[in-house]
Parts: sequence; C-alpha cells; structure tokens
Amino acid sequence: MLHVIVDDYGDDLKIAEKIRKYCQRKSPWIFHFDTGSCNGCDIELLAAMSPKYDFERFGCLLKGSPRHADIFLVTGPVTRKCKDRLVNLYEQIPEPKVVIAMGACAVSKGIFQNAYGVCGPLDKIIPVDVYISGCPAKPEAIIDGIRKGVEILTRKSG
Amino acid sequence: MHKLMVPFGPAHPALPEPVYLKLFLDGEEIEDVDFSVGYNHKGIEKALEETDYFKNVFLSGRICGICSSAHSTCYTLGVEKLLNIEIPDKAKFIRVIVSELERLHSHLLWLGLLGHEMGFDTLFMLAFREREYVLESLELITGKRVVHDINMIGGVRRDLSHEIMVKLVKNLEILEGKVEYLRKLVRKDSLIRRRTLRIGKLDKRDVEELCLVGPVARASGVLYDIRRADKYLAYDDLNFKIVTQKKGDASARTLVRVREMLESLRLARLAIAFIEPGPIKVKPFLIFPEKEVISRVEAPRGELIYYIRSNGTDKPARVKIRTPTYANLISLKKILVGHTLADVPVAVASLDPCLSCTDRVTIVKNGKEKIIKWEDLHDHEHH
Ligand code: SF4
Repeated sequence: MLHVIVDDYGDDLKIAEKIRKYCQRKSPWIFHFDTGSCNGCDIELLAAMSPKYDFERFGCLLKGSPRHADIFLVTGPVTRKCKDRLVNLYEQIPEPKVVIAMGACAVSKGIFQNAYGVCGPLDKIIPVDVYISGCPAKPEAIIDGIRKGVEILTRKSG
Repeated sequence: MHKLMVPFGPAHPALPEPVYLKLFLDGEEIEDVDFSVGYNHKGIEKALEETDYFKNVFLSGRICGICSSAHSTCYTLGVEKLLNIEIPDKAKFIRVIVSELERLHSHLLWLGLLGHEMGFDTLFMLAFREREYVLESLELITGKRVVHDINMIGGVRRDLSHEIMVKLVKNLEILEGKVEYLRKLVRKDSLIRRRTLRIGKLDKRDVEELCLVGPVARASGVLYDIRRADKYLAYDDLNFKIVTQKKGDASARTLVRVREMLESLRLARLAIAFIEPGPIKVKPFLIFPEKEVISRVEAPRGELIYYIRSNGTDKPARVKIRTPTYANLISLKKILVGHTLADVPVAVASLDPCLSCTDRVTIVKNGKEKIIKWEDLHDHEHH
C-alpha cells in the first residue's frame, strides 16, 4: 500500500492521510497519566492489559510518550502539583486526540471532595470526551470506554 | 564536581507513578541522587479530619489502591481501640483472609512490574494472569476487585458463605501451583538473576540505621514483621513463618516477596479452616472518648502506622499516617549510588515504591521553606 506510485503529489498526501486514519481507527495508542490517583484505577488499567482482558487485541498499546499517543487516559482527581504538567502533556499530544477521564476521581473528584491539594475534576482543566465511572473502573468498563473513544477519534479525524 | 545531571520522571515510561529523580552521573556511573515526590499529594490527612469516623473508613481505604484493606484495617483497628470494642472472631478471620489475599495480589503486581522494568514482558503477563485468580477471590469475598471496602467499625460488611468458601479454597489451590512455578522461575531464570543479583545492596546495618521496613528489611536479614510483633487480628492463632534472606540485594528482595506469597496463601487457607459460624459485626457504642491511639499493621510493603487523636466529637482531631514507602524511600540514595543508569529501573522497582500514600507537602517560596498554619492550608487551594 505504501508503494503506490502516483504522479501527483496531492494524491500522495491523500493516500498518506487515508493510511493515517486507518491506523488511528485500528490501532489507537494510549498515553496514561496519573494525576494523584490512589493507584486503584492504574492497576485496573494494567489488568485490562493482562491476558484475561487483553485490550491489545483491539490494537491498543500503552505508550510512554505523549507524542505517540492518540488517546489521553487520565486517572486521579488532579492535584495542584500535577495540574501544569497535565496541561503540558495534553498540549504535546498531536491532533486529533481524545481525552478519557477514568474513575470517579477524574470524573468528579470522587471521594477526595474536601482535600485541599486537589483542584480537579479533570474537565475543569482540559476538555474531556469520554467518562468512565467506577471506583475503580472495572477492566470491562475501561475497554468499553476506549472503544467509545476510538469512535470519537474516527469522527474527529473526519 | 558533578558531570551530568539526568532527570528521571516525573512522568517516565519506566515508572508507573510520578516521582522525580535527579541522577548525577560520572560517565555511566551514578554519583549522587536527589529525588522529589509530592506530585500525588492530595491532603488526605486533613480531609480525614473533616469527615466522620464512619465515612473515613472508605477514605482511608483509598489512600492507596494497592494496599487498600491494609489502610482501612489499620484505621478501623485504631478506632476500635478508641471505642474499646472487641470484634467477633469471624470478622477477624475475614479481615485476615482479605489482608493476605491483598498481599498476594500486591506482590504479584510487583513481580509483573519488575519483569516489565527488566524488559521481560512475558513475566509481566504471567504474573498478571495469575493475579486474576486473586482478584477473582477478592471479588467473591468483598464484591470488588481492587478497593475492597470490607471493613467497618466493629467488624466486616459482608459475610462469608459456605459456597464462597468452597470456591475460594479451589481458587487458592490452583494459585498455589502457579505461585510455586513463579518461585522456581525467579530462582532459576538466568535473565532475572543477572538483572537482580548484586543490585541495590543494603546490609543489615543500613537497614537498622535507616529504619527500613517490610520485605526490604527482611531481605537484609532483619526479622521484623508486625504480624508477629503486634499480633493484631487473629495472627496470634495462626501459625506462619517470617521469610528472610541474608543478601539484601534486589534478588533477595524478589525471593522474599515470592516466598511470602506462598506463606500468604497458606495463611489464607488456614484462616478459612478456622472460620466458625457466628456474627460478623458488633454495634459500636457511639461515644468517642478524648484519647489518642496508635495502631499498626503489616501492609504488603511493610509497617503501616496510624495515629488517631480524638477530641470527643464524631470527627477525629488528628490522623497521622506513616506509610511503609515513606520509610523505605530514604534508602534510594544508598541503593542507586555506584550503579549504572541502566540499573535504575530495577533498583527502584525492587523497593516496591508506592507513592500515592507517600507524597507530602512542602511549600517553598522564594527558595525558602515556609511554614503555614494548619487552618490556612485549606485556603491555599485558592491561591
Ligand atoms: S476512582 Fe477510586 S480507585 Fe480510582 S483513583 Fe479514585 S479513589 Fe482510587
């Protein structure tokens, strides 16, 4: 597919664009950031990667760098120290991107309502596309949330 | 003079949680280490004072998702001491079972992450596959996979029926074989051995000087376990071994944790055998005397201490928590200096750091530490 020879440079770009869209739909890469979660959600995310649930069969991969990611998955109620870093990471992810708020904490600050170090919830700071509820969210819910995220991603990339 | 400073973190692919290490290198070798934590600081100790004793059980369980029931057990033990109540035997055994299963899941998780740090992702997958049996068992008992919320003041919230116990015993039997396999793997596999041997050495004196706790201390030959030292819950009736090793390096810590898993399995099965029908909770008498209490439990990562002071109202006046990682993180410098950069992930992982319970706050303004009043802390949010 990559070796299609076309005379017109414009056509070439179109094909590249098509390939990009196809890959994004079939293999969304995820960047996970912990903004002060209790780890409950983070280990459930790891469990979703493990052989029993295995979200890699949908082509999802957890990536270490925001620049490689399509989906930004955030756990935790956003602590004050994490806030700037969160925005920084968000800006580094290339467009189109989808933000998933995972767990009651990220959705609504959850149980940490009256903790002074918390300045969330997440959607006060960056725009959120998908909310996954649960404290912690179960792996099934995570997979479902990611699937919805991919749908939005496809729509966003046109 | 330091030659090169390499920042490591806070959001680093090799570390699941935000911690910021500054490594000062001379060539490949690490000369000095500095670290800063606090990315996860939420202010739970303060939040605990604004909620009443009963709701705090849930909040304390969410200080750390991995050792959730260790936290809530420690908190409820403290409050029960405050109220001077004795919980029924069945509740004690159920708490023991949940705590031991939690230790099991925590150690399996840790083994998986260690494998991941070494670039041995098959081990990660193996450990996580076996871990699902533990989570299944925990879901059977408590209804939740990770943050269990089984404790309440005066007992436990869910009874253990006969059918559940039968299923549980079956699950644990399957697990025993699997964990035994992992133990052999860790002992024999040359890749694991080569990556962990002589990494991050701590000898007995270091452990005693730095007051390290948990498996890290036991791997250096210090026989210290709160289950034995304090005999809380039903650990007095149950017979178990404390696993120790002499070498004190990452491989010894791995072996201690893997053998501890087998011990936990045995303990859980023993506790199931001990269970007799009876009540699972007592109704507490709701007058909180003015008093201070301290309670300790052995969390998966080591000694966990809660200090609770009551002023006679339905909310605690002060809760102070000392978590095992807080005690252990101090050894970071000792274990990293002299190693190469490539060994950092394994050495750090061998401590099993869990930072969500560790992060503290220091407010630094104009390069000077500033002390602020407890009352002003809450307003700080709006600055
Ligand atoms: S939603 Fe619950 S489990 Fe997840 S990070 Fe928050 S407190 Fe922990």
